Amino acid sequence: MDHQGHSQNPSMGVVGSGAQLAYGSNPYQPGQITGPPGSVVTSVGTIQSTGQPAGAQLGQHQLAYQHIHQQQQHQLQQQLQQFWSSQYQEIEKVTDFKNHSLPLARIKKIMKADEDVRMISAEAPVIFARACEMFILELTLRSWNHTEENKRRTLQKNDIAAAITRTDIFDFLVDIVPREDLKDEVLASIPRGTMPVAGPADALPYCYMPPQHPSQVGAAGVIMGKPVMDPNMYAQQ
Amino acid sequence: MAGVREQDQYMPIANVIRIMRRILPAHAKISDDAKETIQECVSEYISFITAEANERCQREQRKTVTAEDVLWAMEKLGFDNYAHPLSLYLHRYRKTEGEPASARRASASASPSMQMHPRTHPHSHPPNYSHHGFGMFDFDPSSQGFYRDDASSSGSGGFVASFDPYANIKRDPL
Repeated sequence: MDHQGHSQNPSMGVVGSGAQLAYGSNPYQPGQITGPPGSVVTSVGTIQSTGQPAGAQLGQHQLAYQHIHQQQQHQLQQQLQQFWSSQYQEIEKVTDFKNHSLPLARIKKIMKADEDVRMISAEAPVIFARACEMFILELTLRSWNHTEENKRRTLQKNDIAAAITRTDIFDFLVDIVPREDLKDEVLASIPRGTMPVAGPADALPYCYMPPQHPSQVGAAGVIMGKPVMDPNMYAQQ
Repeated sequence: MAGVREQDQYMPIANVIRIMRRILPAHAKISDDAKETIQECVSEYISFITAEANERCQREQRKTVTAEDVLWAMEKLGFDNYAHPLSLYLHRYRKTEGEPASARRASASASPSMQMHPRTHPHSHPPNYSHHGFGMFDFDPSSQGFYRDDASSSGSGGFVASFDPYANIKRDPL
């Protein structure tokens, strides 16, 4: 079951219109929360100051962003160190090897989706169950860092795209996030004055791709916010 | 989209969300497309590591992908942070599940890393029962060696090993 208070969440809209909307907002307002569904604050807009000459605005923008970025990255490194340290401690204390956060049968099925894989020892899915837990936690932590950087409280797909772009060992995932989300990450690191914003005319497409397909295929017309599966069908074992 | 087949390629979304929430602050919200993206990333991660592990397996002309192959693949692909604690996890898992895991590996044609005790020994005699069932020696004297690991166990008398529902699936070489 979805534990969130709202069934519908704010999500990325057209980048161009989002940037325009951001002009009138005060990005430095403390406690600013995500707007109603449909309103979008781009990563660039959230740190933009208003009422400044163009040149000074650009310089101030760069300095402000660099400072926030450095603070955020330092915080992330600390959180990651704490994360891996706690993982080791948790594993040293594990006593229950029967209940896993993820179903072993599903892991085995995904492993065997590769036709070259013939036999799998019983221990491999057990190790993967724990590994995937770590993977989800690390990817979520890195993604949330980007969410906070943009002063939002809803973790979005483009946050995951940013985390993937910034982390070398996640290179194998670049095909999973569409180019629009990666473009947003590029925009976040370059002052907007030097790059034209060319967003898609309609909503971002979702990409559903079997793991064994190396190339990405976009699926058009997916209804945003519609859950793919019923969580009740997959109760934790 | 083929619903059932498509869903089988991903981890259950409820499990994924539960894990995500563990590291997020209480006020955090997760968009639906983010949930689905993480699902896809996890499957890609499993396939990515498995392919590398299987490649090593085939190079050494073995048929079974083992936990060691998985850990080796993780280190090779830059996931050292994962491989190190998981190596400890594997050791502790074997220490706890020692005999049954060894028996399962043997039947799956993997070479066991521990000396085998009577193969026909049923699961109904878990190692930890030695703290209560001294009388059991009268029924099955050949199982005496089975309790050799008890000295190193946590000594928790309350622990009762349950039958592993995945035993058949794990041994299935399909």
